[in-house]
Amino acid sequence: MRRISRLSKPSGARLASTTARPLAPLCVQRTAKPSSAPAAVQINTLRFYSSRQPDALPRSLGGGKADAAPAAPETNAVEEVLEEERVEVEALDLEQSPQRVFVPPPRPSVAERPDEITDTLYTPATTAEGLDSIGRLGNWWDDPEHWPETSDFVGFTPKQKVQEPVLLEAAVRRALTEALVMKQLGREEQLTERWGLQDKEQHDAVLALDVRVDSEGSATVTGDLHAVADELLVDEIQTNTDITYTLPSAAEALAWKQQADQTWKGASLQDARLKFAVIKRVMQLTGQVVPDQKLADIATARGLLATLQKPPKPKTFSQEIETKKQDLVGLPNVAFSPKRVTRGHKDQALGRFKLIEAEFRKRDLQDGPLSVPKSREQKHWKGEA
Amino acid sequence: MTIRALEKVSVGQNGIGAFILQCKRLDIHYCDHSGSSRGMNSFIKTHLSKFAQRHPAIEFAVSPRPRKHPVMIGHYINGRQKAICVANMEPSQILKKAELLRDASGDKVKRVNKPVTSINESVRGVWSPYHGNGMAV
Repeated sequence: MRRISRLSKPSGARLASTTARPLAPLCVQRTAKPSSAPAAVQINTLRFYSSRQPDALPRSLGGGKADAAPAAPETNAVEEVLEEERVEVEALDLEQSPQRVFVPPPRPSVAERPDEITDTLYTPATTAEGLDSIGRLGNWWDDPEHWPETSDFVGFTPKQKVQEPVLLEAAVRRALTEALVMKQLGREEQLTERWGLQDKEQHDAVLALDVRVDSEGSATVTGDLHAVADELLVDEIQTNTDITYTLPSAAEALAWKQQADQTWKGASLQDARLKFAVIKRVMQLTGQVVPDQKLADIATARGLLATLQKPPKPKTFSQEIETKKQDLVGLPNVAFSPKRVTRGHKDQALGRFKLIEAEFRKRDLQDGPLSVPKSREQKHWKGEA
Repeated sequence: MTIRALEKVSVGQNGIGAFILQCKRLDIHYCDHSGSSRGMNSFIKTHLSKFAQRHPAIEFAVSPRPRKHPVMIGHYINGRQKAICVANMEPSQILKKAELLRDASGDKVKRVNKPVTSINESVRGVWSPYHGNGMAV
């Protein structure tokens, strides 16, 4: 089922603030008030007792007339408590919250065992005729009302990795500046915390701070440090604000780079806490993950930048030749083709192809050119558009 | 109007400089992923550029042939072709094969028993008893 695949990865840093219940984080990770413990408990019950039940549910899932069946007194008591909880959950008005949770299917009902049935009129069925359908969820998760797009998992890193070298440089500078600010203000405990993603004004404000690096690599930041630090610790999840974050454009980053002082790249990252904070922040901003084996070699911001800005490995040998071996491809007596050369290509190179097409045209055997793809040709033969 | 002699357009050097390389084209096929093409891919990266620069008279056509062994095919001016499979070979070995294709004439390989080959059977011709002055016995 398509919807299930969205849950493949466990929530990373975002789960840290939620409760440690096995299934609860999946339900409450984007709720409106996750900080309040009672609400989290109540939301857990929502998973089994949704107020919105489809009409055509199997009886095993609470559909049909299963509620009217006689049940044990203990079950009634439990259901009364759960019904109260359900009302409380509805009072939370989750439907109107900007980040909705998914609606789990209702709890399956279990039939009584044949040897425990007290009804004397009960006779076991011998055929399936007249019996209610049981089992399965049907297409519960295919309904967008049950699994809205807003309940999708949002990871710590963005989905698209940033590859542009200028943007990476701006991100490293921002991460370094923010980590230095926290360190300078004595908030070293908060270096390892999750920092919020601010808007572009905050991005520009951080980059505008002056970073001075001495000959030994120790860096100091000057400017309005408290404002930056306070903004950093505002978590969009806790405050329930919009967390859309857009990087500056490449042109903006280039303009910043041209007028910025480049000495910040010599800032030392020997302090493990600082290095962790910088790499974590870069990961959050750009999606670039530094491999473990390269962590020890990174001693300065320049080293981190070199690791991140390394161009991606070409996927095929042909791509590598095309991009890196211009001395070979550019020779006048060398013809390089990144794709397989077929008989048709050879005919085209020799000029034979036009003759073949002309002969076909004379005999009314081929309307269009021979060079159309096979699939399009087949469609044409079938009379399709 | 005075008569002018024809201008000399070439210098005869007793055959030297009139040599025409028999190999006119070299097709080089490789595979992006197969292990048997590892040596060939390395050859293309390291040796082919210099080799192609040294032989401007040969046209080099480099193209992939997915899921197939690497092959070099020489095309000759007599219309024949000569193909060599270079699967699992080292780059230096492949360079030797490329030189072999370059030096080949394109003819079929024939067994050579005599140290000298000529299109004439003999410079003196075949002896005949009916020709010449004869010999008094």
